[in-house]
Amino acid sequence: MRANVIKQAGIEFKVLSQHQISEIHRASLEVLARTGVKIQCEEALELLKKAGGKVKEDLVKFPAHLVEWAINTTPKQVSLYDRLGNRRLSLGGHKSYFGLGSTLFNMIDSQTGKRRAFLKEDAAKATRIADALPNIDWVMGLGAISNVPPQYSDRHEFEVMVRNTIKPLVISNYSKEGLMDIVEMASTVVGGKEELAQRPFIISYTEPVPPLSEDETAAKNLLLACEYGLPIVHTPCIQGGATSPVSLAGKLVSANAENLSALVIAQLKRRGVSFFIGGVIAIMDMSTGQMSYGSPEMDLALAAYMDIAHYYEIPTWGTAGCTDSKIVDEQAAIEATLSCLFSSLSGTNLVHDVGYMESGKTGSLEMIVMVDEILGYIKRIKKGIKVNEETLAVDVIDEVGPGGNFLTHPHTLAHFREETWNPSLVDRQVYDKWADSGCKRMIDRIREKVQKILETHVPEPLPEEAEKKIEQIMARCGNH
Amino acid sequence: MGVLEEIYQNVVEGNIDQTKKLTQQALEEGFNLKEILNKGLTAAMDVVGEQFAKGEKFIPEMLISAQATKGAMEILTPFLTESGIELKGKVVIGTVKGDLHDIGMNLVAMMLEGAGFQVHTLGADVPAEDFIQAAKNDKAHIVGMSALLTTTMPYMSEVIEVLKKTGLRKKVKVMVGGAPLTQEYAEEIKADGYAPDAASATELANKLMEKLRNDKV
Repeated sequence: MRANVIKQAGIEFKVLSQHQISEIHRASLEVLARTGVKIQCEEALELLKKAGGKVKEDLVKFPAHLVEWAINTTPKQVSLYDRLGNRRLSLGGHKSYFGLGSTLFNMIDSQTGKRRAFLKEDAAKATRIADALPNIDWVMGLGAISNVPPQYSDRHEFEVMVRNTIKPLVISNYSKEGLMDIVEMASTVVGGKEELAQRPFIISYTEPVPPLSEDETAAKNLLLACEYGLPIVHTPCIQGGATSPVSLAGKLVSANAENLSALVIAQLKRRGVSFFIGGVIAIMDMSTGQMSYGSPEMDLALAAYMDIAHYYEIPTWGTAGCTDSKIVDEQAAIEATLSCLFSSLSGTNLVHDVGYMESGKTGSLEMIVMVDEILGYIKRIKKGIKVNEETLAVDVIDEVGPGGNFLTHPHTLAHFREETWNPSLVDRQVYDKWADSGCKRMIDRIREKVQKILETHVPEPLPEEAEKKIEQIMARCGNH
Repeated sequence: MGVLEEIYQNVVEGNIDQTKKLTQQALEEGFNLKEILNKGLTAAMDVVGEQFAKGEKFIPEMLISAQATKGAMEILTPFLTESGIELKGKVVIGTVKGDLHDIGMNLVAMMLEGAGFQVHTLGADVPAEDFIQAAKNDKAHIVGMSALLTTTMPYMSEVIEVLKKTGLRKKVKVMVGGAPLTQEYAEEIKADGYAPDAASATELANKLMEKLRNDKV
């Protein structure tokens, strides 16, 4: 037993100094007080006016005290449960959980390799794949379902998600009626509205419009989510140089101002509602004019934003496991790896957009499966190194002695499973073995795994009563 | 350097105020309008376009040159109309009702201005009536619509309906764009064209102007 021991578990990683964090925080407050936010929503304007916001038509300027109040009021930790009521995600601090994205227009067909419109069955398959994968922790619909009536796409999305996984869900909050249906279905699944409130397994997702604007629909839906008491993500998708300053610090100021303004509205509507800050803090590629989902600037800016969020102690929403590539290739692997690594190291709580390709337009099951492998690799790194008597192993070294080997030592047997990551797709065979098994590339192994999961994985079925309620609601949603 | 070469140089460098001054000067010195257009502006934007295609210049640099061109065009347009020289074309463009996303649309508008089009940008969240009113007032050749959300995209059909009802549909070409848009969707709603990004939108606008001229013949 030693005295004065400080143990470090894991890796320390920071982008910003405390001084920089404070500067960005102060600049954000200044933007909110000086430039303000345009909000196309009467109710939100009323709430802000009553609380001391300076409201002129639809422009609101936020006094610093209001923003500070909201930061201190919002919960520092949010627990998400699975569909069976087990506590699954502890959101706060530096814990990271990865999930899919939503609203993609296209899908890369696993059979044909062709890029085509996103269908309901794609959402179902993506969910089932996510359900089976150990490193995907929660699920989002992946795409905008094109083969159902558009006004009901949110319900169809929820239906396939809730059928195909027990993992927590982030749902599309598109309309009053839609949210009502989804909450009703979700409540029945877990055994009632009380249950859903006590052990939430769904999070509402909406977005503002950078720079510094809230459209009527999204603002109303945000307030609605507050009424239901759902945990909320309402974060911006920013293109540096186009909808924010191109300088990364300015982009952070802009992103932070947008996040905090929404946080204020949410806390005023429902004090203590669970709220996540962050977003897709990306760049516009200045050669193509496209929003880039795989860039060093995005990885860096998001990681830096997490430093700010940790300072506030507010749970976070980030972006990773995505790419600008049109196919699952080397570019996709590079971009996904770096974004996942930085999200993990910076301690982003909910990391979304795994499976996102082509600058946020196309999805693929293969991308999701590849990212799961990348996450396994990264998780081992994030685990860090334990330094103690047992792991320092000086007695073991002495026993084995110079020129000996450790392979059969009990210490190796006892610890190797815990110390080393067991890859599922990464190949380390000798050349001859690899050649004999068909010279498989990574993409070949990924495709096999996708097929295997789809053929063999059976998600936990819904309770009968929930099935009935869902069928009832979906019957009036143009069920396919 | 002659004044036309100076205009060319200032457009390439993106000096808006200088370009405007020099354009005014060129007019006062009695330079031929077509020459000012071709040698001063078009030639400059062509070079900038080439540099952009090669990856030597980027969007912010393209846009500042486009703005210089726009400034020059504002000065020249009344004289061009007077002398009967055919203008590049008039465009009315906006993001449809319910949708506040306008960065892509603005990028297209600015690129079109760089190509010499007269562009009236309506902004975001634009109802059908505003598209129609602007198209009428401006005697626009092209109506451009943008949407980012699958939930706002359907409004484009409504705008096209209103264009039909007010008898404007035959007089204009409709082009659409935005992340959820596709060639198929554009054909479904009977728009005249779809472009996947700002650069191709400019090409499309040129093609649509051709079509309009041929329609008239």
